Amino acid sequence: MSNTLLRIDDLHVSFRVGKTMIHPVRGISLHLDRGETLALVGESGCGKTTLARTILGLQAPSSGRIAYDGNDIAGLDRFGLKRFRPHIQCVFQDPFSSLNPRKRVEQLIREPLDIHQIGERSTRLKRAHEMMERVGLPTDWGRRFPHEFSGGQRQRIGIARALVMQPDLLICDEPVSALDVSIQAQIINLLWELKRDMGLSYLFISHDLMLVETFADRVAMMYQGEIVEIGPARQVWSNPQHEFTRRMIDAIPVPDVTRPPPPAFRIDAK
Amino acid sequence: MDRVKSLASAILRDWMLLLGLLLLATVFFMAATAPFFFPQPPDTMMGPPLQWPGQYPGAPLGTDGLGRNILAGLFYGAQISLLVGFASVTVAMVFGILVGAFAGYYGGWIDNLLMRVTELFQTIPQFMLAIVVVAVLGPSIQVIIFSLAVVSWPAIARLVRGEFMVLREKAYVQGCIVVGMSDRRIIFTQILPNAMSGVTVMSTIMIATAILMESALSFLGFGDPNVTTWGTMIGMGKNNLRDAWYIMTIPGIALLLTALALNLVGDGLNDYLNPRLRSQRGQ
Amino acid sequence: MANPILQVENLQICVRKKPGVLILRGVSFHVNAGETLAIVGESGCGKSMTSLAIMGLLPDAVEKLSGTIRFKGRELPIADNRAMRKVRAAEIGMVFQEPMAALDPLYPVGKQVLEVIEEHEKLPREMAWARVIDLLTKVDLPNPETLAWSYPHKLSGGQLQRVVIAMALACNPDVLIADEPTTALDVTVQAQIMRLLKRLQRDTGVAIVLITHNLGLVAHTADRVMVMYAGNKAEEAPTRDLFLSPRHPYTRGLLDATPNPERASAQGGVLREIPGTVPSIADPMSGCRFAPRCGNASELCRARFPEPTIEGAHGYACHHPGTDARV
Ligand SMILES: Nc1ncnc2c1ncn2[C@@H]1O[C@H](COP(=O)(O)OP(=O)(O)OP(=O)(O)O)[C@@H](O)[C@H]1O
Ligand SMILES: Nc1ncnc2c1ncn2[C@@H]1O[C@H](COP(=O)(O)OP(=O)(O)O)[C@@H](O)[C@H]1O
Ligand code: SF4
Ligand SMILES: [Mg+2]
Ligand SMILES: [Mg+2]
Repeated sequence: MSNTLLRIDDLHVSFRVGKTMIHPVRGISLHLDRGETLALVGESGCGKTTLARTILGLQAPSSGRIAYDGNDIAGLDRFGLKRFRPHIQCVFQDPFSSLNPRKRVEQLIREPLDIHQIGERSTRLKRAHEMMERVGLPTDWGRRFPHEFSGGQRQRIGIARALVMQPDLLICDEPVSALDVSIQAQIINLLWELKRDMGLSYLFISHDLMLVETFADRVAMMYQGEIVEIGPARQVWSNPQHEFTRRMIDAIPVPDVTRPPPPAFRIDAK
Repeated sequence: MDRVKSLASAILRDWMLLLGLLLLATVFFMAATAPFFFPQPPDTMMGPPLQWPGQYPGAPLGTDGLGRNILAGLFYGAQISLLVGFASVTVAMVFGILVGAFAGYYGGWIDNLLMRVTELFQTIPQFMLAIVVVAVLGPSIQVIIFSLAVVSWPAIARLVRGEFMVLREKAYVQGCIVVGMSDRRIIFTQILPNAMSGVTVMSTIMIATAILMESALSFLGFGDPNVTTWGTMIGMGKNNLRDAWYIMTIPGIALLLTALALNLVGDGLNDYLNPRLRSQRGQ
Repeated sequence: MANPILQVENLQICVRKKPGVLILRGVSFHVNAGETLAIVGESGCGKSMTSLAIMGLLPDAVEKLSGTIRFKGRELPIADNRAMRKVRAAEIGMVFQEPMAALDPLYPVGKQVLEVIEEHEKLPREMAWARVIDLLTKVDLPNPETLAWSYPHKLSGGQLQRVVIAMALACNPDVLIADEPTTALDVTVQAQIMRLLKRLQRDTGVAIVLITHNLGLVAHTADRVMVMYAGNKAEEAPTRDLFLSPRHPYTRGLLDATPNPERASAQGGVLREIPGTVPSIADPMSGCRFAPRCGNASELCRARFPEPTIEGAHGYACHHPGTDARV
């Protein structure tokens, strides 16, 4: 068992849109160690979600390698991937469209266990309830439908569903972007605790460098389909190397009135 | 002012749904009780021919040119209309949903192929196609049901395909793929239930169309000769159009009211299903 | 008090025909000419309802129960749609979170700005069009003459928001209400839009009501801040005071929950959260509505609603306000 959980080599993804080709991912290489949190930060449309979808097998790459624990999973079909499914799970950005509106919460969380026939049939519901408790949802809410929950609670449901199979890698695509700061803090703390207790690794996608700086181990800055800078979170924040990273940091308003406004906020600046 | 208007429209809407359901219930009642009220088959001679409604006590709605009881014909005809309408649309739904679901979910060449076939069926005018099928296979109730299903499924397939193309992009469907769910399970247990409300509304209205088409087939002599339907009754009436127009008019009205009822129910369901769906999808 | 241009007094809004289900529970505040007032709070706290009420754009499902809204001293007829049309854009402009929702996809953007001008002023076409080009230039759009003929879908999110700002400022309003104007945008674009708004404010003296949940934005762009919680005003203070010595536990909670790399080490890498969620508007609880989530809550809090305390420019509604400065 090597220490590298996920390794991506020179990954390219392209789509045909009408007559033109677009390349949202242009030669990305990165690795993620066991127990590590790697944040992937970039502006909207830079290819973050496309990269996540490709790792999850929702999108075929045009070239490159994706190695999960030493096995190449790039471009495997549904059947080939099924074996890896319990190991790689994800949480989506939009808490409102990411849960089937007609399923009860406990059904939603239990479903993955049924699909992979994990555990005895009779104990699956119990495991779903344990997972609900683990993410901070009272088990007697299990018979409710997703639309009866708030955005933050729905993200908890999504997290429970993703973690019920005890995966090693959780890909989070902007899991808190649609939430208020107070709820965002709840979810970030929950993810942090779960990682500590379950030994998870995270690929955490975000457009908020300030947020990931507080809890990611390393940060990869993505710009127009490429990773332009990667390094320890603290270092990327305090000593950015790439022009794009610097421009982004200059535009981030730190909530601190004792500091001067960031350069991009000064009226007289050009 | 706006408040009064919205209140009025709400009541009106519910009122129309109620009316539709009542009318439909009446038709079902007629179909279910036909043998009870009229133990004789509807094509037996019951009395003197061409009795106007109210003229002859044995037949409150009169008799036709051969002395058959028009009221009995209406009751027995309701059986055929409902049978043909519901059966043909059920068959069309099963087939249309399958085609639409696979085309919409898989896209690509599967979609291309299935949609080409669907279009092929839609280029031929519906009624012509139904006539051709009946002419080739011979006039029987089963064949008529089949022919109406053949002309109805493409519309359902298109609707379902559209819904599937939208829903398959939803994050929750992507999530099902990621947890390793099979395509069949995703199509039938995850997407289809969320696509059904539109299909339900459309199928109600399609039942009305099927009933009208069955009558038209019977009217033109393509109906099953062994059963009495509203269409055959109208067809018989055309010989006495001048002196006994009621023979044609009474089953015509029954037909019209049934079609109206189904449309009212369809509209009502549409209004009822839509807002609830919106709130369930988190608007 | 400098020179209040907009004054809201005891504004109560409820769900139509349900006076018990209050969305706003008596909110009072004012906006001074030329200043920026930020309104912050979690979603569902009534920020958007406040702004929609001022614009006379309340949705059909809700109604005003009581309260007055004064603009330049006279009461706004917010229930009278025709009278409010004259006020909108000409005196109070508005910018929404989703620029696309404010624009008609079927018309070139320049035409839409033109329409706003023509609705409020009788001008010859050429002069009005010259104003459109001038406005598009002022909001820093490149090649305004060509861009005016583009359809909305051709423009990026930031460009669309600039067009919407141009529309909102077309008739030189005295107040601009911006409801989460940058939430849908990237940080670099957000900075550009905020800088644009501040520059326009400096040049025209327009007062800005900035609704946001980004406390970083507030720190660097607002003069004063109003914090709302569950339909009430929790705290109101000059920006510096609010950040350095917040009195209301909710304000403190919001500030602590916001990621801040400068304080990261003190937090041990995890954020400080506010437990629980905003209570439903239908919840008939008495006392302070923040009590279930508040660390300072006492029996008094649960029994009686805290009346506002005013200390100079700083006001808050809490029985047990925090006193220590925050570093
Ligand atoms: N299925 C698709 N077909 C065509 N273009 C696509 C498709 N999916 C993504 N794109 C395009 O690829 C680019 C990258 O998209 P992606 O969703 O990966 O961005 P992102 O970094 O996740 O942005 P966001 O912050 O908005 O989520 C965008 O320009 C997008 O429009
Ligand atoms: N049309 C409506 N009918 C009933 N309640 C509504 C309606 N619109 C908003 N609300 C309620 O009003 C409260 C305040 O909403 P809003 O002003 O949009 O909050 P914010 O802008 O602070 O996120 C919320 O609890 C919301 O559920
Ligand atoms: S009044 Fe009491 S419960 Fe409310 S915020 Fe103050 S201390 Fe907390
Ligand atoms: Mg994305
Ligand atoms: Mg809002």
